[in-house]
Amino acid sequence: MSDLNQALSDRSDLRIAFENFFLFLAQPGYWWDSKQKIAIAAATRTASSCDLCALKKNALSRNQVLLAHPETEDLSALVVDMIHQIITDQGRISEPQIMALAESGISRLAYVELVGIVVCLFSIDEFCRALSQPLLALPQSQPGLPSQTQPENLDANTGYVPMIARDGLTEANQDLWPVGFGANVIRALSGAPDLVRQWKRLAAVLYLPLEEMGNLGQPATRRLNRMQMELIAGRISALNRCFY
Amino acid sequence: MLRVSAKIAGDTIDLSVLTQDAAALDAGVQHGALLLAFADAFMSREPETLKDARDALAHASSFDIAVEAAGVAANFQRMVRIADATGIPIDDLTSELGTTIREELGLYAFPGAANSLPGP
Repeated sequence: MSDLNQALSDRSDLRIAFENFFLFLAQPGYWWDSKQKIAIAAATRTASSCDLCALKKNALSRNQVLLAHPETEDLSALVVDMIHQIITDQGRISEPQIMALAESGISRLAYVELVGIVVCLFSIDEFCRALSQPLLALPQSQPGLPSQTQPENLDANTGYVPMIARDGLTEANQDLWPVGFGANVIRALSGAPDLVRQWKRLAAVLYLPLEEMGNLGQPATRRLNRMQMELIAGRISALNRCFY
Repeated sequence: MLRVSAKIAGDTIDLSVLTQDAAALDAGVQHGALLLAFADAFMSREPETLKDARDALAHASSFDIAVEAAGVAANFQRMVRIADATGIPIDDLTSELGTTIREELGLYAFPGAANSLPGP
């Protein structure tokens, strides 16, 4: 076994969290069924090598490029375009695009769920790419209809999407964030609470558990010290032109 | 977080390395230049460049460290996309430290700044 593979096998927490996400992916969601969720994941995987995305990314305005992404069996062209933009040109996502999706039948809550699937899958794939590991196979779809449920106490006053109010957690969702915390980036996907749970679980193994993020000393479970972690985080965020 | 974590550790950090072409510098962090080179190689999406940068980091530190560095990089590919795709503003735009750092690093030029700043 190579040194890299040994280091990876010593981190069973990563494998468990990734497997958990793929089990979640195979289940019907809030607004998307299992087949559609897996189609969203598959479309996510084609974005980074998409020639049309490269054209749109380099255009002064994305609207200058009149070509459209092809629709798939399970996803409209508009949805595929949004999935690809989240990966390749996220800084230019605007509220009118979310409104156009809503007019096409994809509600803002369905969009929240889509964003969550895309970003969670992307971070797993990016981890694999960073270590020259093969991507994990997408799961087989499971039968069942979307639950079409939404959490209580949604607030539409922050960003483009409804999210649970900072002090609006009910018993069903009290695990989403600690009392008094609720930063916008935690709340952003809370219209689809299971996606917050998934990203927290992934963050806990890739970076740090939410509860430990406020401790800026040496993390007990990491060899990188916090300055080293934040140096990488800051550089990646800057290269992504992340203001938040 | 970088500046505060450095302060807690009793170190001084050169934050300019985050946004400038200065990956040869270590920013005052152990293995800083190698970590920055790894982050740049990761974002370049060039497999050979990435492998070279990862191996250089692993040989100077350990493969455990390389795995952790990959995790942090992958994690922050997700966070920016959540923020920009949902249009969320910064939670506290008024803190003096945050304002100073955003000005120092030129972050107000980033497109996502529009989600936090008052409209025209």
